[in-house]
Amino acid sequence: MSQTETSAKPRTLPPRPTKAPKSVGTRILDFLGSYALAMVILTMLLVLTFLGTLEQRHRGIFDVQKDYFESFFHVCDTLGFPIPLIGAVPLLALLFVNLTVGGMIRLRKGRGTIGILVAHLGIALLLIGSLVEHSLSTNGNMSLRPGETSNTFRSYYDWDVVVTEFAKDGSGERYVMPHERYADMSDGERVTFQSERLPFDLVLSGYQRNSVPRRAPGAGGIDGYLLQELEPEEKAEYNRPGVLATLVADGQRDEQILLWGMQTGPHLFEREGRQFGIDMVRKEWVIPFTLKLDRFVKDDHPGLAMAREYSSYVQKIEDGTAQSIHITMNEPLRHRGHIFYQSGYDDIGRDRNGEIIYRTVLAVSVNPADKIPEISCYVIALGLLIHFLMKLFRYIKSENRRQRHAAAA
Amino acid sequence: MPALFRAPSTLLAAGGALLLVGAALPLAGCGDDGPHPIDDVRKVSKVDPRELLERSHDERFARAFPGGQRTTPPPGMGSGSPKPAPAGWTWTTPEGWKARPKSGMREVSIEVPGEPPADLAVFVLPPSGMLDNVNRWRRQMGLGQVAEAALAGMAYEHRGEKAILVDLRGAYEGSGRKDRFLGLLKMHAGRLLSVKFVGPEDLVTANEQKFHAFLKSLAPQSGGASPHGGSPHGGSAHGGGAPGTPPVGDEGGLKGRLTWDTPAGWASIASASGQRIATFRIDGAPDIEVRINSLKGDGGGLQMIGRMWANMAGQTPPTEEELAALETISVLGREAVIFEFAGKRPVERGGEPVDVLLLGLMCTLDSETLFVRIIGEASAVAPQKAAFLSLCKSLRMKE
Repeated sequence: MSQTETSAKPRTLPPRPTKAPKSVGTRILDFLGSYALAMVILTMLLVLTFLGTLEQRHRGIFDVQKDYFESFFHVCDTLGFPIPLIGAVPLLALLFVNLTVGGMIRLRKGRGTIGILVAHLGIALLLIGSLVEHSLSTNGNMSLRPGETSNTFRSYYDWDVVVTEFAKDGSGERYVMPHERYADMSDGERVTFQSERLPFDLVLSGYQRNSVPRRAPGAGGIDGYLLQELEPEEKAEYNRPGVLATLVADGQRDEQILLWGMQTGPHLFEREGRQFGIDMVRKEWVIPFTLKLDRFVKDDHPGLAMAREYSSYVQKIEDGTAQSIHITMNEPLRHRGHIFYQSGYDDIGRDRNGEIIYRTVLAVSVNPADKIPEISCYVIALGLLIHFLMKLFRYIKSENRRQRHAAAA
Repeated sequence: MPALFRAPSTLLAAGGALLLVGAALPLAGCGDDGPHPIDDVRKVSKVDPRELLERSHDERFARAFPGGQRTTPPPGMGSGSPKPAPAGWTWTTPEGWKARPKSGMREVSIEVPGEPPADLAVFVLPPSGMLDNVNRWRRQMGLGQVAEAALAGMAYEHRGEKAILVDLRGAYEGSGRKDRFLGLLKMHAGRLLSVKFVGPEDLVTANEQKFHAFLKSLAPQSGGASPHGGSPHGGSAHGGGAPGTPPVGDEGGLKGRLTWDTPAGWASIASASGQRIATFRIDGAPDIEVRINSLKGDGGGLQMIGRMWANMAGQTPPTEEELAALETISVLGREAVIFEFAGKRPVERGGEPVDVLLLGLMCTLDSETLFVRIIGEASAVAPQKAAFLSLCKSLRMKE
């Protein structure tokens, strides 16, 4: 009995090991690598994409892309009321951190998770590629007539203010005020540029992204003109910007000049016996080789004046050596970090046989990360393949085991 | 329930943190408003000569108007219309004031020393409303608009003529300091005389008497040069011609001022067209037309003219190298370019292509460009080349 009583006596369980309180660092890592953060980021990206797509009903893709996907913060009012949104830049940066912490560093390592790890590496690579492209890529276009050569390409969207000093021997020196330094100015803001080699400072103000010069009423305006602001074009490359340039010498306002992207040539002026011209031109980049258009070929759909296919036969001239290259829509020219895609053409006249002469338009991209999306896709596909194959083998193995047990029973 | 949704506080924390990060990040880039050094300086071995063409503002902004045409400028304003001779003015610069060289539209430019200095400028402008100008000045000073009735209180008499004197206090063009603006507006000989004197309030007030003395001295010029050196209405400093070459084409266009020697066998016919200066027919070649005309500014530029003429002759547009290699001759003291395009005229209405020849001359002057062109069947035009060149070389301004 006593034994029974003894055996009935409730056993005292060993004390449960108390969890050590988490350090702040661990909590932060927990948060950064959490599923919750991933879900929030992905939901926000979904909302951003949805609203950004809606916004394109009445705004151009370039502007929407800038506001939603290349910004830090944006207030969207496409639904008729303001919605504060975090832009894609911080969201993708946080997604990268979340993926690195939760999907790679803290991921349970083993044979079963190797595919997931590889897929996560691929996604991280894709995000890095996006960052590199966003920060370092340059895009523009080069247009060539048959027989014409060029070693420059021009921006679709950005306009520089350029002061040229003309030398007596026909040469010149161009001082470039880059678009990115002044185009973000707010109302009333002025941006000053100076160089020790110029006898004046240049102050830019009143930048209009899309504008047209109009005669000023009465005696107002600059030399009788005002810059009238226009709604941005839906296709941002059609915007015609304008800005007010003020020459300042010895701290004094010397001359004011209205500049417009479509003006027919520079405004000329003289200072200290030196001759200058000021103009607003599309941003231009020099490439380390030259392209010459031999011929442009366009095939139309039968019976229609609609192009089925068009391509350019060019010569790449470098170090005195010419190489013939055929650029098609799907076969760009890639050379020294520059990619030339066949993007369009213009009809510029007729030759002696009455044939239309075309000018080819090549889209030019300088993107150090242009191969990264492709590589990332291979890596992600490999990771998923490994993961699903392992799942499949495990399933087949367990099925076999189950069938063997069933047969034995 | 999945662990994720058992922790709403984590979700809230994640969302809140993201919002904060998103809102704070843009602020990180603010605050850079100092002068920017110009660090992108590029050498150009050969500047396109078209860059050196002096363009009026009308010409520079020609593309702003429908069809790329310039709007008809207000009388006397644009370079396209015959300018009424602007009235010259004389004045006496008060002691202690520093006259500056005339620039842009400023007939007179004077600096009144101070820290910072005050600025006095005189403009002679096309006629426009007094009220518009007063309100424009008020806007510059950060002041509200006034109605027509307010002008009565600004009445002033300047050299026996009615004028308006404006006295404004505010911050000139957002300067952020106390400024004073004294301005005079007066219609004289169909033009608006506008005098503005603006600067720090104390400085302008201290110089108010001198300003009135200056106004009193400001008088229409009776002839002769300004006592302050240089003509108050000097021409452009960037004429297209060689140094010392007299301005050509500046005043009233070439029509009526240009003359030439008509080659033998050619006959001048009436030219009613606006920009056509002369038209010729050639004996025995009725289908050939020779014309002389002019366009404002650069007429579209060498490249555009080359492309247009090449197209007319059924030729491929010239490359920049070909343009640079074109033959030149001296016309009106300037270097003029000769084009020669031989090709087949594009097939029209199913006819056989015809061999055509175009000879053209393009001569860029101070404010306009002169063109001479002959086009027709190559067999008929080719023998006229010598006559064409002799016509071009004989072009001169009437005595």
